[in-house]
Amino acid sequence: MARRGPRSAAERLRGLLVMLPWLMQRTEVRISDMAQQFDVSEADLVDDLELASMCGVPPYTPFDLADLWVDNEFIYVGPNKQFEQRLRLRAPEAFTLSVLASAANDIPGFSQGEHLQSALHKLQRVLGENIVDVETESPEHLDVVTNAADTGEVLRIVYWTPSRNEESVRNIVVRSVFSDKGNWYVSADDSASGERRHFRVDRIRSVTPTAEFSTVIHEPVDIPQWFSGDGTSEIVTAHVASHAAWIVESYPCRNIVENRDGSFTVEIAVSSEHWLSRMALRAGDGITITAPEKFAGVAQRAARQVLSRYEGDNSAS
Amino acid sequence: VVATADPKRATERMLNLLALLTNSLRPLTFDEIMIRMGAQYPEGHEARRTSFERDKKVLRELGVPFTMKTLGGADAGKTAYSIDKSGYGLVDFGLTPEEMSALQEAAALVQTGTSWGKQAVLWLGGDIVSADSPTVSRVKVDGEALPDLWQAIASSHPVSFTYHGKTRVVNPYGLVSRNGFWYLVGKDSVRESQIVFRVDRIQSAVSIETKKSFERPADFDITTAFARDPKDFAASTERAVVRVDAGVAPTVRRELGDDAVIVEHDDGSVDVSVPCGNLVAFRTWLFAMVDRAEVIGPDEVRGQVIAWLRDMSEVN
Repeated sequence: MARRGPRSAAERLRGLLVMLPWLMQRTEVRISDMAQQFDVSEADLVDDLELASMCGVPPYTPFDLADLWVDNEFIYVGPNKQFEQRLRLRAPEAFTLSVLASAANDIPGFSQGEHLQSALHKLQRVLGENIVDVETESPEHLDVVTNAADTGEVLRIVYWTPSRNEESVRNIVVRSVFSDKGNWYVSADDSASGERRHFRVDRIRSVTPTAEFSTVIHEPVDIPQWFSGDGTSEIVTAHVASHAAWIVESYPCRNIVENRDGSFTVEIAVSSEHWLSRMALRAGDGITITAPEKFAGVAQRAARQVLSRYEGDNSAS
Repeated sequence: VVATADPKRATERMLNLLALLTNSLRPLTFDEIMIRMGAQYPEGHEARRTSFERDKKVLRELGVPFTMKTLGGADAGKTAYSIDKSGYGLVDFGLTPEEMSALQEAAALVQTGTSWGKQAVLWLGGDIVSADSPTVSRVKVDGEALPDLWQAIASSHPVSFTYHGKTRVVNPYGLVSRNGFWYLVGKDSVRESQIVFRVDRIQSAVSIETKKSFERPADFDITTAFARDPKDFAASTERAVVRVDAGVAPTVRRELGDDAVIVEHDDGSVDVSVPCGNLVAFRTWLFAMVDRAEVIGPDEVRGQVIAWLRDMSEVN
């Protein structure tokens, strides 16, 4: 959607200095197409280009102005030496190009990896090397579900739900596959619930293609906002020792206060007691839950649970 | 063309200034520019100078290589201005249609939460295309800190920022996106060691110290610079055998590799051989599985795990 509202001179000038070399590569472009490309309204676009058409060098006769005109639905442009130079990429755009390159290569089915790499090689003097790394997992069944999204083949999966530690068997029709926060998910029509559901691909224990096919629906991929402040998380206050500082970096901590001795007082958004237990076990004496009261003994309870495995009849020793 | 504060007219004036200096065969002094551009600049020397300086600043901030030189001879001491065409960072990278197509597709398939990627494609002369694939990726790059840090890394300048309430001065080496968060890997000037900062925890603007520079270690590799827990103990020669329940066995197998699997049990559980020389890293890895993993041996490692659990279960 084109943005509205007053635009500063710098903003308009910057837009034109990107648009003009782009136009000169094409010489003739439909106004609506160009407005869509640059995410501006057609009125703003025409206004800016008409302004540029009145610019040039003194004495500003028609022969000294930019070779550019707008007629009916099209924009026409000739060579304009004074505006043909492209500006250097700014840091946000250059950085994002590096991110795109790193992330796109991990997308299954991305067929242009070789060309992307050679493009990056040519852009290296701007982008640098070995600066950005986007980590994305490659779970076992990723290729199968990606292929199913293209073909519409119904898949029978065994899916593990960690919060209940249960496995379920269900048929799914994969509608899209996406990665978010480093994990891969499928959005699929689920036979078990009769609804569109999201499944994390690394939690799919097994996949069996059924040779049954559903009609492929072409729709934009809608990546959900997982934690959009739905209020289901509880907030725990904890003291984190300096030797366990990795907790502060790795877990969803907020209101972090670094104490003089290098320890931290933090608040942590907790999705379940099981989740908190696991974190407390991993941290050992590095973390002390101070509030709320009901979570104060979570580490002890978790430790007893694990200890029972070692001391119980099922001990493997 | 008349001088005005109207943004539209200011845009026109700056385009004309750019055209004038680009077309000129020699640098032009302030007075020469004012004569040629006439009423586009306001009346009065001070007002003209202020307006000109503002235009110059905007053009430079946009990346236009606006240069100055002090003249000699009859114009000795006067400053002359020009556009250094060789100073444009981006002239022609010679991208083939296939290479541009690959960049366009990457911009369509990777959702960054900003328009920066698409602007980069347009900047390079490409088109914005729609993703017609059902497979996409989201890597958020919002916030000003990331581009600033990237800039500092690319130009080898130290940065300073506030982190956990303290000012940190860092030689930045690289940026890693992991589990939805961005991390800066760099050398902290106080600790004199390579450490990792979570970028969304930076509490101030990132200040780039452009007058200083550093050299990144030649063997630095961004793909391995920020070790995951398993890598922390991967180099150890001491090993433990851990029985992992069926529910988590596939994940562990992927993490450690098939070579680590010693025994496959009928119930789907597996025994794996895991480096345990770094006991803290081993414990962090082991307890992530809570009661779905158990150390089988050697006895001293199993004993250590039991001792940890007893200590924790007895703490009030």
